[in-house]
Amino acid sequence: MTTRTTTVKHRPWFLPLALLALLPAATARGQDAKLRIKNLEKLADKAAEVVDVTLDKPMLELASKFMKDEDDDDAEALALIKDMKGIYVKSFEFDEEGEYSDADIEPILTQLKGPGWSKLVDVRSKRDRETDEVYIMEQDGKIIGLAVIAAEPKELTIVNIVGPIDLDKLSKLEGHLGVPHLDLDRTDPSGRPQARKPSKEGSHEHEE
Amino acid sequence: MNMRNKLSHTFVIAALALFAAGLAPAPAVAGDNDFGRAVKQVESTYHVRRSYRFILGVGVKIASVAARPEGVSHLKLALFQNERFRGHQSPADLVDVVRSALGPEWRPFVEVKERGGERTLVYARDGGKDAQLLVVTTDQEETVLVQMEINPDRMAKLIDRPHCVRRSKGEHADGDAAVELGF
Repeated sequence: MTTRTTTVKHRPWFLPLALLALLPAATARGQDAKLRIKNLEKLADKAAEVVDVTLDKPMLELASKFMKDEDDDDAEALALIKDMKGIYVKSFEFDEEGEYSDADIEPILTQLKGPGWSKLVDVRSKRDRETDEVYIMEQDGKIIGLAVIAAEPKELTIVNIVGPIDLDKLSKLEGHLGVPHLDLDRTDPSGRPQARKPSKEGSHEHEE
Repeated sequence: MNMRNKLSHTFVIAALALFAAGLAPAPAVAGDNDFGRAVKQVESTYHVRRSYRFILGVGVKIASVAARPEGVSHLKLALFQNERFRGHQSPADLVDVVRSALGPEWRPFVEVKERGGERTLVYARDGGKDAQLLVVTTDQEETVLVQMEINPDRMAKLIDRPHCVRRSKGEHADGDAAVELGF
């Protein structure tokens, strides 16, 4: 007992160093699915309009207070957001096509290449010139975060949902709480959602 | 994907309606102090005084109290003419100034930045039965702070389509300035 105390006393750098050494492991374990989407200022400078929607935990609690149980859509969305920690949406609108490139969203893509994240859906529609990418972060077999990058020639939207997510019910959030219509549908044989693009004739096509 | 499904509701906050609301003093509600503090913070930071331009000629317009949007109450407004902001023609940091005056219960909810310097930030907080909103909107000419209470129906719509918050400025036929928030 005495020896241990003495060791720490004579080596004041030991504890911080030990904590520092443990940090990577802790970070990998307690991964945070919250993306830093604020750091897109360069892109914001190019955009004609930037809209930020922030629904953090307190705001989600406030939102759930005003959503109605009796409304079926609201009730399902309500159940879905109950355990969520946050929904963050950032959208950019540009005057002209080609005003942004992949390089502009590199700060986001870099984060999505980090540990824990995996790409779930990648839809590239030549017809609509639209790209939708869906990423999920899993921990212990459960999804704890989701990110969507939806790109059109003159519009870019980034959605980040933090917290446990039931992919079965994710589509219930589309069009609500700032989450755009992503046309997610659980049609994949693996049980994972796929993006669905309704054609003009009403049939579904997958362009990957 | 088209996110621009604007609601059919256009929420008009006209200077006229705001003044009319102000004529009948609303009972004190939680958050009143925050609004006053935010206004004072702007005034002290930029050495400006709020403008009462919109009060002029209101005598003939009291009948327009009905212009107050449905589901909205306890309106408070502070209008600033930006040319009076000493050395701050475009008070880009104004939103931060307002933020520093608000308590943590006010949550920044939606922010819209437009090319040209227009910026709108909506804060929300739980007001009990209703929700309270504090809207800060600024452009090259004017800065407006509005606080209001909105009923659950309107709050539900705003929560459902937060990205539909839009600011547009115009003038009423009678020449009064108007700020419209579409949501």
